[in-house]
Amino acid sequence: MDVPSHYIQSYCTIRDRSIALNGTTWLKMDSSTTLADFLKSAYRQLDIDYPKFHKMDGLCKAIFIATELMTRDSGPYPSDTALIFSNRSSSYLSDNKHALGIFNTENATASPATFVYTLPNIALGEISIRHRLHSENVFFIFDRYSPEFLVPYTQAALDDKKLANAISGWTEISGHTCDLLLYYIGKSGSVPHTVAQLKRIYNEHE
Amino acid sequence: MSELTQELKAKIITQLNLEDLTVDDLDDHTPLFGDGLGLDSIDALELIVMLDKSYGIKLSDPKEGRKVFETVQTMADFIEANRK
Repeated sequence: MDVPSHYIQSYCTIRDRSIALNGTTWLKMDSSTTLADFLKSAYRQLDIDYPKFHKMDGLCKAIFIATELMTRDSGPYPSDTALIFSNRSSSYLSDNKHALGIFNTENATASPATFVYTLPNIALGEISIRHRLHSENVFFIFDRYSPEFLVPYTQAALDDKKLANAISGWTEISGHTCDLLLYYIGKSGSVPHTVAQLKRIYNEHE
Repeated sequence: MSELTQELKAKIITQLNLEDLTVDDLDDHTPLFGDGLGLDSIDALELIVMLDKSYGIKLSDPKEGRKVFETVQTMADFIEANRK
């Protein structure tokens, strides 16, 4: 049997109103809590001072929280950590908010703070700033969570660039729901970076 | 004028999502950019939109913005002198 070259060192799932780190619940709130309030509570629980968080859209906030939690578990990310993300709705939340502003027939306004988040890649920029990453990154749009694509793509990217680390996963956010799995890949660990393992950890969050 | 500065502080906090601040935390003379409140270029654009939407003032010269947005007080002075 082949020995895997990379392992999942830590992973974070955010689903509905709960957040788990490596399979252990870190925060759980009532389902009636709005997504915005839930993400704000998670930020407060992190006990950090990063005012820019409040300016981010929901997609960036969820990704920010997950990457923050994983680095607490695995240590600082090396600056060449590759970022390979995916979701279904791209930056729809901000796109829609921007469209509602500019097509408002009575008071059409373009908000620069909204417009700046009308690309999913902005989330990668936000965490690159936060963690001082100067690395390769890509954001795919798929119909569904696709470890069958992400694993070989990520592995090829790591091998091609001779990189040790990557953060990869699925980050689907709608107005009220969040379905996120991000995982940090490195050269050591106990969970091999395989499709089967990624299906398992995605489904373990009830 | 004090009423306007209070109103401006509330609008700035709401418009720029400065969730950790209250109106009382913001001094009339605290620099809004740089070492003061630490606002960035996107915030500057939001302030320009706010001037237009709330007070009917259009800033056409970016150099003018640097002075206008120095502090809450300089913003209030500018609004008082230019609002329609």
